[in-house]
Amino acid sequence: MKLLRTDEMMHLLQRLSDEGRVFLPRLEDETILFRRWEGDSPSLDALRAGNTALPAKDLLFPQTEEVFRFVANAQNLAIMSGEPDDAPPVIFGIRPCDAASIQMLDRVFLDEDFPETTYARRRDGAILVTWACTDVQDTCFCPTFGIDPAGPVQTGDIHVTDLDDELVLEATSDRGGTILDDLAEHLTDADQGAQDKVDSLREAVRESVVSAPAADDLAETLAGMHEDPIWEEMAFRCLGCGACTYLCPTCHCYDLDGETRGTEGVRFRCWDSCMFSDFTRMAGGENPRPTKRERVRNRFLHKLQYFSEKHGVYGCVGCGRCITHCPACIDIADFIYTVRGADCDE
Amino acid sequence: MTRSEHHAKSLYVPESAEIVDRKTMTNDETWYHLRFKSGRTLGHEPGQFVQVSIPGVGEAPISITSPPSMTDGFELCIRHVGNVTNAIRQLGKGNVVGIRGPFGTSFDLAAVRGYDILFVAGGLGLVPLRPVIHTALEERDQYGRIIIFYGTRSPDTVLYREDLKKWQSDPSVDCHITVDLADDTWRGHVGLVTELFHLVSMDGENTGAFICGPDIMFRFVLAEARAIGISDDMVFLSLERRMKCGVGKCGHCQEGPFFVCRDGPCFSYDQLQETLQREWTE
Repeated sequence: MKLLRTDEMMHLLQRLSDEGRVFLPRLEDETILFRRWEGDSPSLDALRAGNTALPAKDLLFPQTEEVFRFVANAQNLAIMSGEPDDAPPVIFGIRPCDAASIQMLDRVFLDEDFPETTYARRRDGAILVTWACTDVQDTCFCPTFGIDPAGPVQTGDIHVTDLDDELVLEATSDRGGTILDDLAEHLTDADQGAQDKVDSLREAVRESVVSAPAADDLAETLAGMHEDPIWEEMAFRCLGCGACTYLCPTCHCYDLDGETRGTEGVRFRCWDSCMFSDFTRMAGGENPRPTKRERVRNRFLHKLQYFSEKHGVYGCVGCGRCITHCPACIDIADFIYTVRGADCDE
Repeated sequence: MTRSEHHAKSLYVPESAEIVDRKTMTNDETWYHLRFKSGRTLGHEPGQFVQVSIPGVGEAPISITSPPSMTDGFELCIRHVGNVTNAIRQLGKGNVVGIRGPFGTSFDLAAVRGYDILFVAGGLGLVPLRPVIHTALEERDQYGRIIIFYGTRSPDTVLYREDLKKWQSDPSVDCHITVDLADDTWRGHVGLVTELFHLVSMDGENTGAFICGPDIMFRFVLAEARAIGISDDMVFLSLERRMKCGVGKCGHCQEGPFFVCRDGPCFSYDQLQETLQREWTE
């Protein structure tokens, strides 16, 4: 554990910029978003506020990206690589929930049989500097999935705990360790006092999150709830807008589509949403998920049953964005507690 | 890694294939013989599919209809129902399309070695079953009886007439065809494909079944298969879903815990039972 004076954070950012393009939370039109660091002094307000409006997902899995370019006529199809070769990102100030969500994306995009090359390249090179949450929101429920809101995360490289005038830095990977070694002249060893402050802050933050752990048998319970009236209730309210899926750090559905002008064109990959009615509709018109009931159910079961059965982790990290932004007040945390049928502090 | 190496490994980049022959099969379906420009063989197993890409229009998942033993290119039988498949309709000999694949699981013929085999095809369901039938016939002595049930809407929608004629005249094959609606020219059976179960006596305990057709057909055919005593783990079926990526990531083909493009399209009834049962109770 090392200490860096908060007003010397620039040294850390400068060193990180040697590793790739640095992104950090920035206030933009009243919204905090990950934006490219341009060498200016970072906004502490943005770093300390609740969480970014959007997760950092699109730095590894962009909302839209070219897959290839082509020149085609009926006799010929010439394909040119259109895959981006951007430098991997350094994601500075990512919250533990969002950092944990990257494990879920890894399971999808880095599976052994079909690893996705662009994702792999960004992910291998990426550096995650996780930032302990101190401003917990009403909609936060990361401890439900065993995430410590102010603690270090397995996917991270450096973990930062903000003690106002000082930042406590912990290397959580070898690369993180090397970076901190290089910054030695600006760092001091954390004494017992700082350690105690970190411990008590972690505990206080953990306790400030109103949540109950997901029941051990959540996936099993859900497997028996296929015909439960709860799906109808939620589907009745759902507008099918898809906001939940676009804001979700773990949602990974996408479409492959294209644009053409004359004989030239591009095929791109863009996020898609399982909440849209045509998401599963086939060319002949048949639709395996014809109503909102099946779509809402699939979204919840994918995250809380199927993903966990397949990968051993839930496909949700409790960031609460879908709760905050759902125009119909559909609340996945509430759903989990209802299914759990257990007492919650709420 | 350089840009071009990445390109070579991208999951989504199709490879050029030339249409070397085509034949109109019915009003809605056309048969195509394709060959990769690179000369490589597709290297597929029966039951797998490819993504056919028409630049500027899009991609569509299409079952491979030629058996793996055919190495001079491969064959597709395409029903023209959507943007991509209607664009393909405009193409002929010498035209080029993009191909990704083969993708997905194949029909497990090894599991029925030594058994009688029942094939049940409904409509376009004959397309993915054809390579399995061909492969089984190429290794005829590995299996007991080979029984084929094929049901389709009407006489003008019958696919693969030459194959069917051959199978019907082959003494080692028991091939029955039915149409839902006959016309004056039709001399065969009229009625649903399930009725064919009553024409042929089968030794269910020693039979493995391969089934493909519209979702609605499965329910009734699977019930018949059970009724004659075929065990669920000896029944194999292929599901049709909207498949985009082909590699189990994009989510479009998700069916309960499965991504059909990767965990399927070929499943044993055992695997799918819970999923299908749920659908049928709704």
